Amino acid sequence: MSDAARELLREIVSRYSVRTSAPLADATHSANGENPACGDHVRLDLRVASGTITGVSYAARACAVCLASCAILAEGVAGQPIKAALQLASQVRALTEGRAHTDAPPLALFARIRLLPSRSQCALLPWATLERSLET
Amino acid sequence: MHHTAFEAGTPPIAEAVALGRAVEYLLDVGLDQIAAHCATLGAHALSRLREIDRVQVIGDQASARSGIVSFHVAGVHPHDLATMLDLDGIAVRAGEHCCQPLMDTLGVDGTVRLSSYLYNTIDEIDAAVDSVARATAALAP
Repeated sequence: MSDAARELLREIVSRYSVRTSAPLADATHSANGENPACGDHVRLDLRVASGTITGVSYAARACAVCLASCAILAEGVAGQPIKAALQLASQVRALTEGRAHTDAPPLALFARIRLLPSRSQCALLPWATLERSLET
Repeated sequence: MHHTAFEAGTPPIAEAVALGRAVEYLLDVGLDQIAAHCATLGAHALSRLREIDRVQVIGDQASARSGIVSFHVAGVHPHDLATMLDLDGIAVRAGEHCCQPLMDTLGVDGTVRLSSYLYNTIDEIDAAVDSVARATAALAP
């Protein structure tokens, strides 16, 4: 169990280390997300046109788990209708909380986060920030 | 002092008794001995942590102040390091420690704090530092 958890963290750190993606000049939706208990901070900018997310940018000061989640989010919601993006956020929440399972990358990472239970909030922060940005 | 005789609720009697016993215990061991033990653990942690290239010890570099040593590992987020230590059974506090302006000044995301005390041993400090070295090798870019 510990070895699998160590391997997961090693994999996350080696695959995802981008703290800031290319900035978005013409964002229409933005939100800041913070986990005060651990200090993770995420800024998310979206460009939405005709109900579809046409651009995503993030800047994070956060741990590797949160950075990985940001990268997967940016790739997953770009080009998606808002409804599909919010459904993806619900799916990520269900996977992270153990109410669903997948072995398919990249979402499998959220199911594996259960190996590191104290880090689930780090994985969910970008998605909560997405949900909040789309409310505005 | 009649007004204190009719306080609402039950005062923390068990806690007051336990505090008394804790103070007795510490005085029995000897405060000077405890301070000396903690200083020995802290100095050992400091010198061992310096062996790891990427480790930056926060605060006084010359001598240990107590059994507590805070540090940062370049390129490794403190929570990721703390998770690796946790998996080795070593409990540390990591993050901003409720002092974000200081972390900004230090130019770090946060620190890892190794807090040893009366009940810790030199062997445990060695185990913790060995774990930091392994985690650094695994996670550093």
